[in-house]
Amino acid sequence: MSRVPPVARLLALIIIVVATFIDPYLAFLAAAIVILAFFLATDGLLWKYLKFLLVVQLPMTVMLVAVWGWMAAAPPGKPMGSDPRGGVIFAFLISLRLAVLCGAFQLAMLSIPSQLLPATLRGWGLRGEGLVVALGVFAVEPEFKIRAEQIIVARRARGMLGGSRWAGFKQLPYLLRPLFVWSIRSAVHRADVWEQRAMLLRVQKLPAREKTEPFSMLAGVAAFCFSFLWLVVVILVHWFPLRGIV
Amino acid sequence: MTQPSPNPLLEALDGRRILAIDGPNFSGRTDLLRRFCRAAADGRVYLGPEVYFALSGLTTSMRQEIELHAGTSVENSRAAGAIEALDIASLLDHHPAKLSGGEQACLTVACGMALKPAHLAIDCALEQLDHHRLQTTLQILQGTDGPSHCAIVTDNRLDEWPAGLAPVDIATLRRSNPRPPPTPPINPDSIVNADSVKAPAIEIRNLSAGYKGRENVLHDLSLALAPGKIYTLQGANGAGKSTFAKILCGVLRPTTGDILFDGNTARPWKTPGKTVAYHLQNPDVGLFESTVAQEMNDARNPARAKVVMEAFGLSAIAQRNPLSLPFPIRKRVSLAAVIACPAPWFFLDEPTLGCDASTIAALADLIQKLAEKGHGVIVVSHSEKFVRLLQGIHLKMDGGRILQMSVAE
Repeated sequence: MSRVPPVARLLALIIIVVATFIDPYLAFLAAAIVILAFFLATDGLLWKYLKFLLVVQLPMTVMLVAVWGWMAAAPPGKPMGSDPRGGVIFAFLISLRLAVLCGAFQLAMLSIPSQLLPATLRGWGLRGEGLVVALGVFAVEPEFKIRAEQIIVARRARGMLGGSRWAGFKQLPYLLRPLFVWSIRSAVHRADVWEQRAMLLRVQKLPAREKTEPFSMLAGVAAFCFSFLWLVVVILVHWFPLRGIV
Repeated sequence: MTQPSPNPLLEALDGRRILAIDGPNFSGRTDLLRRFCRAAADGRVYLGPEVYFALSGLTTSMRQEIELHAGTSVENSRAAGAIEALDIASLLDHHPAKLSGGEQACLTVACGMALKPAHLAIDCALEQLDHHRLQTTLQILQGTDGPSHCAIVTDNRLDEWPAGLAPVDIATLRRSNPRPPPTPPINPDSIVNADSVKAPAIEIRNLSAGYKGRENVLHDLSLALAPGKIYTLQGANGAGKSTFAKILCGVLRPTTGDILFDGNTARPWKTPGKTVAYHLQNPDVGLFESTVAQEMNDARNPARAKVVMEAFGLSAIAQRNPLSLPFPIRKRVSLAAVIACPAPWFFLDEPTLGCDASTIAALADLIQKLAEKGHGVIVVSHSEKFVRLLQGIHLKMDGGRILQMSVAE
């Protein structure tokens, strides 16, 4: 997926988002997750996705099931306690939709190699300040991660923090202020640098198009076909509901 | 109509490729360079001591950063020769924020060259470079096959520059009075009021350490460090000095080998910073409290905090936010914050960055007084002057090993 042409990448993402919201069946959503996991594995992103499922998705699913299956014991629009099974199905529907959306976003966004990022974003029609903001969004996460690690190192270096992972985890609230201050300082300093070096004009000069390889075209067509096929299927089952499939 | 007066820097350049400006902190060097670059945004580039803020913040690799500045591929950019000469080609795919201070300085210089400016104003940005890279950078800036620009450089290591590049004094260039320094000078004698400590002897046996993707930064390193002594550690950028500091301090766990404190096996990674406190090179990372006094941990140990603030001349600004202070003072605060720690050993990584000659001399005096109080001190510095003043035991590091240990004469 790493060299999928920008347009195919964006179209596939939009189609998957639409299909996810139309799809009322858990089985189809689960199948979509399996297919996404396969694509993510080919790009080396599966572990990141599984971590997301474990750390974010699983606790959220437990909470949703508790709220809709046990406390409300009914899906929205029905009297409380009237349909616990429906409540559980609704909770899983929300959870699986979120899992599909996050997997699709990870596949569409995180698989873009950093050297192709400007070309991809320009391929999506982003120009001027919009392009700068989008590039900044991709750069800010790794930089914040590195800065957070450095602040933990600095606190440890002065004997203010134990060496265990738990001690590091407990420090998370104390990271927020220095990280916030860092981001402000960074913005102020860089605004100066940007103005002086006419960085906005330089960003515009970044290459708009990379040479398309045969494999990248194939991957793009595959991603587009998969998402389109899924959309067609969910539209069909939306009009002609299947019985017995949850 | 009155003619605008010619710029003093342009006059002083007078056909030179490099103009070196000498002067103490707060003598107006930074203001002069900043004003010079603001006067004509096009063709003049300012590179300050905070080299990490000179990068765009838009890129996730060194290669992208240079290409963004050059508007073409790295290979076709004006910085290609500098990248090869500074030996940073192997780092092109690294994230800029993950580079060491010296490597970030190289990247900043390369980006500045890639812009093809008419004038490159370098304000203390070369101080993080090791001796070899400093000489190489000067050759590039001066060379006829290099970029066709002039460089105006302020630096506190001008004594290490080639004899042909005689500096011009700031007093002859500025047209307004310099602003007064925000703090009193360092007062090393105040540290005599601090309590004496008994530092343990440190022994390292066959130690190896590294990071994911760079496994063997330290390789089979063995060393014995006696308490109450000053050790000066020197080596090229990337030789493993900071990794060695992290291991001793306990923020990084070695892959193999033993660390002994007073002959007993120790695990500093369980209680980092308790035996060896580590001063990081970048002051903006090492400062995270709201006031200077809080940085000194004054709530836990007010007596120690008071002594250290007096010694470093920071008492007058105890309630100021450390990040609102100028770079040399921020550096001083971050150093004082480490000295205020109750640890018996201090590992100081480039403590003199951005400091002028008088501050460097005062810092050397202060570190000697700390050693007299029983502290063990390891100092990493590219400043030959500072190393000479410390008169410590000299350690030379390369390729993750200590190559040489010698006592200063």
